[in-house]
Amino acid sequence: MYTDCVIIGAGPAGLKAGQLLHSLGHKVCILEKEEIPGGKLNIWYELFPHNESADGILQQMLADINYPIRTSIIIDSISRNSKGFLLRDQNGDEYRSRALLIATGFKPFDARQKEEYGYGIFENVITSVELEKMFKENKITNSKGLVPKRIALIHCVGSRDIKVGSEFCSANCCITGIKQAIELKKMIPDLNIYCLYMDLRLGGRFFEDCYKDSQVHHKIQFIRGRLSETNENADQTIVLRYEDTLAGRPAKLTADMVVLLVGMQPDHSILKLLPDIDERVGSDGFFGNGRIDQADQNSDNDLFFAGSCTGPKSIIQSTDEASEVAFRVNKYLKKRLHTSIQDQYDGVWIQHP
Amino acid sequence: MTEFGYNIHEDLMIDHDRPSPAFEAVLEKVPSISWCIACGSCTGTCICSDQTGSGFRKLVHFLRNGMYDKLKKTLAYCQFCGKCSLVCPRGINTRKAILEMKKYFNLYSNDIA
Repeated sequence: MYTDCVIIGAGPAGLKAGQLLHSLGHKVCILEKEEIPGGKLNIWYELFPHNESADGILQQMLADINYPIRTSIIIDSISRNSKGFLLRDQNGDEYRSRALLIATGFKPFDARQKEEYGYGIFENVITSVELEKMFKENKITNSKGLVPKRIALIHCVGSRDIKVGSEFCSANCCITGIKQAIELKKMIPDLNIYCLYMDLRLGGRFFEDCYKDSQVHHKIQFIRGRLSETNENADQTIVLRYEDTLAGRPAKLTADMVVLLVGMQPDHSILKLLPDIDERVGSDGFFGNGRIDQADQNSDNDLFFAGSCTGPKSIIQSTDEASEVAFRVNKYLKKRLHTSIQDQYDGVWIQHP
Repeated sequence: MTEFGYNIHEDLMIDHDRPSPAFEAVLEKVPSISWCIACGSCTGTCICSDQTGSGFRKLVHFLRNGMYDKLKKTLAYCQFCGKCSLVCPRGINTRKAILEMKKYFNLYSNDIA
């Protein structure tokens, strides 16, 4: 397949960039490794801060797509020369493109790395991703199939933690926790919910409103202190130990269920296909340099990044960045329009292992 | 007495499982106490914090965690000047809350007959 731009990843960023590039008249193809498009939108039930349905947003995004999205594609190799890229998938299909946009997103932190929190050991310790699954099934139950009475939400799991190699703030877990606390309270009105936080980092628009709403209308209790360890009682309830840092004293709490708000980790699976982008990976593992990039600089660059592969982002931030990058791709493609299509694809391919 | 080589200390563990009936009672009268974000502006501005270390944030903390002895002691310092309510970024009705705390513990009465 001959295209102007191949986009890897059909999440919010990939879909947004694809839609814009297509409307600008470019031939676009999106490759997605999962069976359905949407990326992480498929794992969320409702989105912060307005509690919109994630599926509804995805359907809106997919509604005006009239270019190919190839799903269940595992890319085998990516070759490049001065004129563009050649991608091969596992079925032997080839995709040639003049520009390549990486929108591979993030992966949720593997909570097993924080062994002291008991994820994967105690049944009633779950992650925020698993809680979303419960929301989708409209059924919140603990390991015994009972509706919990006390739930603790743990902030900063896999964020701001040198012990797991993530010193950055994932930026979206605080608001996710508050959103989930409100959703839980709406589903189970007599539930007691405790949020254990270090700082509440609610920088986004309307996030503070969500926070105040959780305190004013839903009586969510916020305890300042980072969870130190969990232990399991005989009845499978979980005892949490931490310092109440406002009191300056050790504290404990028993919960029927503990939800770990897992952070966003860089997804490096594309790196083995594109080893020469190593230099464009930041110290935090995300792609790009995180600086204000002048659109006119690096105008010969044919490899672009958008979405949460360039750092922790909300969906709106991902699509905003994707729009901006789409216009940059457009500029690059227009610059090279003077050469004929056939000319574009001739040349020597350098294939990486 | 046998010497163990160490002293016995008071248990400082805060048990967040233990309910605080006083907190629930005051919360019902003054719902805004649940809005506290523990910023400490109240303590910074309090006219008696210099000498006593008291402040509205501490009162909420003592109330929520069932530390009633300390709460009663700290309540006695309040002169109801209302400066804490002026600086509170969350708009908590601090004077009303302190009054309700005093009422709950029978620390408020008009002794001039």
